[in-house]
Amino acid sequence: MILTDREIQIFLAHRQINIRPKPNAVRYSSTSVDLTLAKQLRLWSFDQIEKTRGEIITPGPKFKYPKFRDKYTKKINISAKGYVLEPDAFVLAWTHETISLPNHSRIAARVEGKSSLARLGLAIHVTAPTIHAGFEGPIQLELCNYGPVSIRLTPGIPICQLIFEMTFGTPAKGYSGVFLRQKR
Amino acid sequence: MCKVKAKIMLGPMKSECVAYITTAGGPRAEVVLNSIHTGHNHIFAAEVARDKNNVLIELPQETSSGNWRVWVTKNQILNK
Repeated sequence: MILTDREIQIFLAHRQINIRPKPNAVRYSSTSVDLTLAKQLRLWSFDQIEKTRGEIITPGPKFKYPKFRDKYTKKINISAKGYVLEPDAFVLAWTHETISLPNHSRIAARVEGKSSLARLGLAIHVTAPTIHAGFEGPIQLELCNYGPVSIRLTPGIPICQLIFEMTFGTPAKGYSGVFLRQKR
Repeated sequence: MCKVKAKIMLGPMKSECVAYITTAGGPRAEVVLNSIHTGHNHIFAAEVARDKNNVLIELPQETSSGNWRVWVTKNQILNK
C-alpha cells in the first residue's frame, strides 16, 4: 500500500519515517515527496580509466565496491555556476536530505525520477530504486543524461521523489548492507 | 476542486495547453496540461491547505521546475 501525503506527514511526526531537513509543503504530491540534489558529486576519473584500460571488473563475492569507487571516481562539490551534465554522461550524486526508515515502522520506499527532468532526458537511477526497511543515510543517485542537450545541475533542485510503501509484516532483519549510513 | 487564475497558451500538442500561474512567492509556475484541465483564463486544481493569505494547490501535472504543489494568493482562486 502506497502512503499518501497525509500519511507520510503522520509517519514523519511520529518519527516512523525520518527526513532531514524536513521537506516543506511544496515538496509533496498526493503520493510522494520530493528530495533535492546535494552539492557533492562523484565523477569518473578518465585518466585512471585510461591508465588501466583493459582491466575488467568482476562483480561477485570478492568485489569491493568502495575500492572500485575510490580508484575510478573523484569527489567534487558543485560550484555556484552548477555542474553541466553532457549528453550520455553518467555521474553519481546524492540527495541533500538524509532519510531513515526504522525497521519497526514497516516502511520501505522507492526512489523515482521526476517527469519534469525525465522530459529533458535525465535519469536518476540505474535500475536500483529500492530503499529497504532499516535504511539510513542520504540516497545515492546514478544520474545519466540520455537527452541530446546539456543539463546544468544546481544543488537544491528537486531531483527525485520518494514513494513510501507499507510492508506486510516486520522484517526479521532490517537493511544492513554496505550502503547503510553511506556518506556523501 | 478549485479554479485557479492562469494565463493559458497553446501547448506542444493539439490537446494540450501551457498554463502560467502566478505563485504567492512571485515567480510564475509553468505547467503543460491537457485541455480538459483548463478554461480560457483558469486551470482546475485541488486545494490542499490554506493559511491567512495563501492557498496551497496541487496541479494536475508537475511544473517545469519540478513541483506538483504551489502556493498561490487567495485572490488567484476564482471560485471562492
